[in-house]
Amino acid sequence: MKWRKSAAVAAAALTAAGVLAGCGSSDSGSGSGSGSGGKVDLSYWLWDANQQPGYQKCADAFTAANPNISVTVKQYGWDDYWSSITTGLVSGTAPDVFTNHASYFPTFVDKHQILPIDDEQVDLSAYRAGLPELWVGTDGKRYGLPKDNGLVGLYANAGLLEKAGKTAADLANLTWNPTDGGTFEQLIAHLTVDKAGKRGDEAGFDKTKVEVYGLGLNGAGDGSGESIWAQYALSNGWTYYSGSTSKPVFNYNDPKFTDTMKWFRGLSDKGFMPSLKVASSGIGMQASYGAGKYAMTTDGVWSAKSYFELKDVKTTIAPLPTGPAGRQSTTNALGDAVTATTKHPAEAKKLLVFLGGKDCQSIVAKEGVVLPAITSAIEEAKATFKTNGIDIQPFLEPKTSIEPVVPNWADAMAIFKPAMEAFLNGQTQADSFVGVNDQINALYK
Amino acid sequence: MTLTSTARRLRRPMFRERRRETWYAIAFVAPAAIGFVVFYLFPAIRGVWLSFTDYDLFSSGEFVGGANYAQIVDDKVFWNALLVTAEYVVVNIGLQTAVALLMAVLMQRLAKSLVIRGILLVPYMVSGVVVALLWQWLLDYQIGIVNNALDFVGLPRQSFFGDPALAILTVAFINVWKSMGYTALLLFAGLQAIPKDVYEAAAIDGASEAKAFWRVSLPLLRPVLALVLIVSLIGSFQIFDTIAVTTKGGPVNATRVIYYYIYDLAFNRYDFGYASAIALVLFAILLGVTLIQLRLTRANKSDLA
Repeated sequence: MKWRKSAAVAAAALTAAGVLAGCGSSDSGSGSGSGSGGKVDLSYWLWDANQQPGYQKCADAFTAANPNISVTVKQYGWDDYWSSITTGLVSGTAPDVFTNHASYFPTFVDKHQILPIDDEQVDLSAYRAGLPELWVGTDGKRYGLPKDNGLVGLYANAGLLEKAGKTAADLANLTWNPTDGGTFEQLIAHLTVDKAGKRGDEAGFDKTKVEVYGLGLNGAGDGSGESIWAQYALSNGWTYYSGSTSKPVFNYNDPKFTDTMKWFRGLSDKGFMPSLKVASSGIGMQASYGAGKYAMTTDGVWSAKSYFELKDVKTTIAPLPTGPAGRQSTTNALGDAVTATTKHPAEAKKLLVFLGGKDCQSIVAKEGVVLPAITSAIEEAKATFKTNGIDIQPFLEPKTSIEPVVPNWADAMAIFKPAMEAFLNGQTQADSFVGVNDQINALYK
Repeated sequence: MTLTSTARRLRRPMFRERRRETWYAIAFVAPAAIGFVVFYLFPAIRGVWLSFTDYDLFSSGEFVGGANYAQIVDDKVFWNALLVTAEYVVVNIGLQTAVALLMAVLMQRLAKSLVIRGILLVPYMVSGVVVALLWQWLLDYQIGIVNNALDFVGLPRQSFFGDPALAILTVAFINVWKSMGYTALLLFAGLQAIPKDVYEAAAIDGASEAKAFWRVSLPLLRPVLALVLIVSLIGSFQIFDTIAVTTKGGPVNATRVIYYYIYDLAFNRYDFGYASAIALVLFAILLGVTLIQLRLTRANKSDLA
């Protein structure tokens, strides 16, 4: 920090003297730092407090390998994080490198706020197939590397399973279809219990007085439906969009999607899953699950650790059910980005590549918080999870689809989210998605 | 300022005294004035300019004329937001003023203990985010204590935040709970300012406690009540934190109040130009409401005079 401040003072003095004419702008090259023997201090931001210890170790390892570059790691809560990043990019106080999210990525590329890293040497085949494409912008340039692999699985309350006479083995080969929900829906029904103790698949079950829901609901979700409804729509053979990432044509009007959504809302109508009204009126899905009110939930591997830290509930993880088009999960990966405002682009890119690379990801894997995207670290992560009593193999079973990473996502979601909430609340019918889809696609014309 | 030092020296001491007072006055006003200009006036003027551009934070923005304002006319979400905000303000201010007035009278006539008077202020001391989180726990559909109590006495559970018909009322109630103590304190101060002999006169004339309240306290409290109403009304229009923490504008658009909509447009969708235009429309509305209120309540005149 000190170094940078004195550099700024020096720069100001030079400007005053009027000798700056002809000097390149800060992003024309590394300029300062390497070579000149000066020390460079980089700042790195992330929002996930659970991952901070791992990345602090990575930062230390990076400095050990590059003694002239130190790294300050800072963590902010999700909302603060993004307002600090965006305002920082304007005012010049943004970090050099930060953890990026797919929903913000296209905007940053579009507005030239982050730097491409195409000049760095990276072996993309080291990552789980499909994930590196996430961080290629609509201009075809690469801006980051995938770090984790955000797969989805089925979490089940082991105690409630046992009471229902089911074992973990009963969850291993569930099937699903949009018509009757398959063995997956049968299981959900069986795990649902009303106040009188009647199960959802028994005669006399009172759906207005449910004590334990077979499946939890984590809100309506955005257009990616990650961990909420996407796995069913995808395993029904649906795809998010056709066309390119810069000009996507979304498929929310596809019967494969609307049929899935009808089935999904049907779970609430039958009393097997809380209605959106109930689910969105409280603290959150995990709190209700932890209180034994949900027998199962669908959630990401990134939540595994917190599920197993719940005191009153013992959890079993199972793979998602197999649909007409096979077992399908969404996947998503975080990746880092170098800001366009950094004064040390060369060092910042070096840090980005290090954080996404083998050595750092091996450190992250040993923290047992997320599943790394780099294949070499997957076994290490599995072993760490295992020592914490968590078997994450079920997450790796489905085929994966990458969530949409397209421009104007926030505008598209301003249309989609209220529509999905209205549908799940029963205010509209599934055919309303046809109009919604037209509105969203109009954004990309 | 333009006087020369010679001229200043020729002034009589009294004038010099007055000049010094002017400087003192400036010194005292300056901190607030500088803050006002830098943090309010300048951004406000810039906001007016931005409302005529398509500024998106990352580029300087092009002048687009009245396009943003034209867009407002057809924006259903905006009109809905205005309606939701109005609903919130009416419930929030109506309930809050009534409860606070009752509390103020009770404070004056019954609860003379400083401790009890202090306790009434506690919710106001807690940050808005914490209050919102607290009620989110209390009102949880399945594990919240309120719903379990409802269930215990045989009433149906309510999805306070998830039901479109209840969500905005819930938010309004939370903020009544938070601010009623503070509002009561302001009204209480107003009540204290009413001379005792007016009440004595009323008592001699045979006025009951209720009659004294309606015929003496309320009319004499009017200027304070008017001020409290205006201040809390403007504050009420600015409802944001509770919604940002609990419902985030949902379900559907049931709690998408105007401030949350502006925030969403600016900081999530980077449409600062359009967000500024809406902010200015809100400014015009607030200005109008305040002027009407001042006129109706004759806040600058006291019946005690």
